Amino acid sequence: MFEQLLGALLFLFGFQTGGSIRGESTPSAIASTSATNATTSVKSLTPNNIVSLQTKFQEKHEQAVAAMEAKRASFSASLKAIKDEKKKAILETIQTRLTQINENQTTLLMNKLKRLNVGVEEMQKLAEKHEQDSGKDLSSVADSLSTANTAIADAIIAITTQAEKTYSISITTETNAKNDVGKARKQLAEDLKKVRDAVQNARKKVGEALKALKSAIGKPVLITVQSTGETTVPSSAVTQAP
Amino acid sequence: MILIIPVIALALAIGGVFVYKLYSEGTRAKASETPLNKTIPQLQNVKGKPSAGYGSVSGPAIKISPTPAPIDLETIINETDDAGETDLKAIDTSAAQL
Repeated sequence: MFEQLLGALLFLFGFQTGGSIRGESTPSAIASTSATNATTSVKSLTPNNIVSLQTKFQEKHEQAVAAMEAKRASFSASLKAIKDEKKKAILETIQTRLTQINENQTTLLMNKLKRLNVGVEEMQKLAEKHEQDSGKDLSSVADSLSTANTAIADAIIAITTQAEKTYSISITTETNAKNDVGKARKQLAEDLKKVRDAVQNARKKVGEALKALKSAIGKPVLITVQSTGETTVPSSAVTQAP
Repeated sequence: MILIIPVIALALAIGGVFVYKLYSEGTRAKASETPLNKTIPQLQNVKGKPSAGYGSVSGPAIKISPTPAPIDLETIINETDDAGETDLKAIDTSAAQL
């Protein structure tokens, strides 16, 4: 936040700070500053610092695993309210599954965003080459790519926040156990939907950038993404669904 | 004394009948396990040499790449996510038993 303010002040006084990398601060803040500082060429685009973003994601994941371990003890204590052994087993399985679903979904979406980011990088390379070879003004493509980069970084931050969350069933009574499960399940579903929407928005923006690139080049463009360094699901997710 | 001898004789007779019955049932069970047709029929109309083992197959070798094939960006853009809906439905099924 401070960096953005400083950057904005320096910009107002006619100074320019060194090239920043997305992921060092909030992407939306970068987007707002880059909106005032209109992109002129594809070359001036700042790429997402995917390594930094991914490291933060992994850290939050690990923190969530540790937090869940701590919460598990209170969950086990609350299970004493349940007399039926079968119900106890079901509740334990559901509790494990809630954690797994969050881990699996955030990891899955993170990998998808990484691929999209590689796609944007490839598009930028292609646009840069075309800009050099043809001497055409590709500022509209640069703007689209910048918007796509911001959308990806925003989605990664949303996923990182989601990865940090834990879902623990707080059992009140045996008769109310179904409702208690429903509350945790509903919360997880709502949170995952928000993250999915953020990823969907990133996809949309990347699609728009691709469209802009195609129309600027004026011929079919095939961009392929080689998926490398897939993020794996943390070790806590081991058991399967009942 | 006169009474004891017939009793012993009767007991021995009954015991003998039981032992014989057990023996005969055992041999019958064993006989049922034995296949009636022990001879294996010879193969008919067979050509070629008998196999000397598993043999070998010639042809182009299939190379498996350690890295996955590249994916078209448009395919990635058009992908859809279910936000864990399938997994959450499985939870509903389990919760219904509570």
